[in-house]
Amino acid sequence: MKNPYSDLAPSAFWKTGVVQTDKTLWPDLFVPKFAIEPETRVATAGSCFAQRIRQALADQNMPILDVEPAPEALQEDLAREFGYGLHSARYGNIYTPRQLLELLQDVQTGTVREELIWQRKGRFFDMLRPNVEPDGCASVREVLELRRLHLARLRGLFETTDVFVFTLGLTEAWLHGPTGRCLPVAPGVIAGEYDPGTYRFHNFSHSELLKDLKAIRATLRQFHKKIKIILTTSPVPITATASGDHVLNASTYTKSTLRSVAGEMAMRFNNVDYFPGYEIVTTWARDGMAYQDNLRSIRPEVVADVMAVFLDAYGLRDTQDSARRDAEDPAPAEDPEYLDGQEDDLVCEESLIEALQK
Amino acid sequence: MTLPAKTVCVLGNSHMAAFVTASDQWAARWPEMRFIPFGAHGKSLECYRVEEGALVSDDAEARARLLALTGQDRLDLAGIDAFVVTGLQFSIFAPVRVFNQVSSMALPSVAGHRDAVERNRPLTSGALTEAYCRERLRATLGYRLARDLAQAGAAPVFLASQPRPAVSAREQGYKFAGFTRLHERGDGIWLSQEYDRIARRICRAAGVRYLAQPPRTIRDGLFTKYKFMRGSLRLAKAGNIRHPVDDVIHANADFARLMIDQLAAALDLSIVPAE
Repeated sequence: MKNPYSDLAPSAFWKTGVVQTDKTLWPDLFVPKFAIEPETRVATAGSCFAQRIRQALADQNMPILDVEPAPEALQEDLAREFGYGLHSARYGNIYTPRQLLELLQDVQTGTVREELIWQRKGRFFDMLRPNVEPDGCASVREVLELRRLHLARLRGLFETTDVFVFTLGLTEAWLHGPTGRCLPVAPGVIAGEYDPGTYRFHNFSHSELLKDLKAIRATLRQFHKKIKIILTTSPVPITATASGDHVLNASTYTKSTLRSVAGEMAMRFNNVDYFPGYEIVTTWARDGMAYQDNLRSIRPEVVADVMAVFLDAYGLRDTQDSARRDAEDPAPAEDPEYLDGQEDDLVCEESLIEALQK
Repeated sequence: MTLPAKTVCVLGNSHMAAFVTASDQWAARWPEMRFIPFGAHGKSLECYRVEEGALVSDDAEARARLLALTGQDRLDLAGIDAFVVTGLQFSIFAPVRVFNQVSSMALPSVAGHRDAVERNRPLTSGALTEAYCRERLRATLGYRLARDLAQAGAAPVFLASQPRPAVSAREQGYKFAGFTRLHERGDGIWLSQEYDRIARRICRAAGVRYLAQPPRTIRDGLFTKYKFMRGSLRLAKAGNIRHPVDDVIHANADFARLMIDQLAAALDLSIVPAE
């Protein structure tokens, strides 16, 4: 007797697709809608986890766009401290779709607002990317000029990007009341001071996120008609919640809503794809723990597995090179010091909240 | 009554020659100081490290060079009352390189981000340019050696700025194009002050005292006046071998005399002017 499931591929069934499958390579888990060729111009943005994607692509010598590269001889650590080399421009981490949408609109209109500056000890910080200048700026004028340059560079980025990879990180955000702008980090964490009359907390709903992502897609297409988008959901749990709910519930809401909305975007639009990095990390079917002792940071070997699935799906992984690297450097997965150092590898404003816990 | 002389060890590369010459030529000017040199050309001192109260090296070639020039291939730190590190790339060249790659709003020639973009020097924050300059200066052999000496013992350590290039460097085309560009844009004096400020700051943080280039030797911020460069001598055992006439890097003994005067003042030692 025929039924709708009888002719489906093994990947459609839990037993063959999950229980019995290769849980490192995850065959058929990700079948891309469109190709990424070695010469495809890829740009990345998003939460901390987006930095991993950028790095994995860069390691394969992909032409990852970077419109604000670090000065030539600047040491890597210092460059990262100043927000260079983390994403395709120095926009810092972009945790919510609203943040990205507003940035795109700023690029279109060239809007730079003096109200969006924080102060700390006589220094001035761009509220929309406070972490890219760890010591702040000497004056309001310096912040504004640096932002103008940033927006000018971003126009060039979005006009030339073929594939834009955006990693969704948070639904919770802080909005600046007078301007309504969505901030990457709560006031008072890096600079500024929390004033309930000026800032308000907002937890984006599925419908709001969907609306913002649609607007992002439309705006990106205005820069480059043929742009394609890959959405991913960060598998890193939230550091803290201001929702009033338990952090476990809040994290589950955040991640499941982001996963859901990314999936809906991919279902609706041909030029939007979803990469299931979130699933690879969070599935209970995996062998071994995905997370480090803090239950937030992802173990480096798991990140490597995730990125291998991504690269293999596009035929981009240089397996010989990877094997050689693994053979030369067997330590990372075993050495506890190496694992401890992993968190420092990413630049994450969100995790700063934890440091301020009373 | 003459006090017992303080032993000052001058360490460095070819720039050490000016100090050695000045200390010989005007020995009576600093009656309370006795100078001993320790160094050799290029990066010979790179092969040295502080170990158990001495500067030592495992590199036979470097040791041979120092032995030939100074008569010793290791330096016992005990008994030395002050160290002066000269040359070894601790110079205004580092910030000049930085400000030829990037710019900041602090530069007098930069009115906004467009100026910077048009001149192909991306605008960065003053905080970044400062951090970048600090990083470049800290990477110099001069800084590292001074820092290590300061960590090793109680004697004060001075890090002397390498002289700015001669004014005539502007005529040497591409080699000094970065200096010329900054000068022509009117950024020279600001950059000179910024260099001294950053140098002083990083030295202080390392427990080292910074000896800036004397203002009266400087022209337009970025250059050294000809009278303090002309007739500079090579670092050579034979002595009295001049650098070529088109040398724009090495200062002469007149320059070093002013530097040693600063050192004497910092150590509160007397300076006896020539009659």
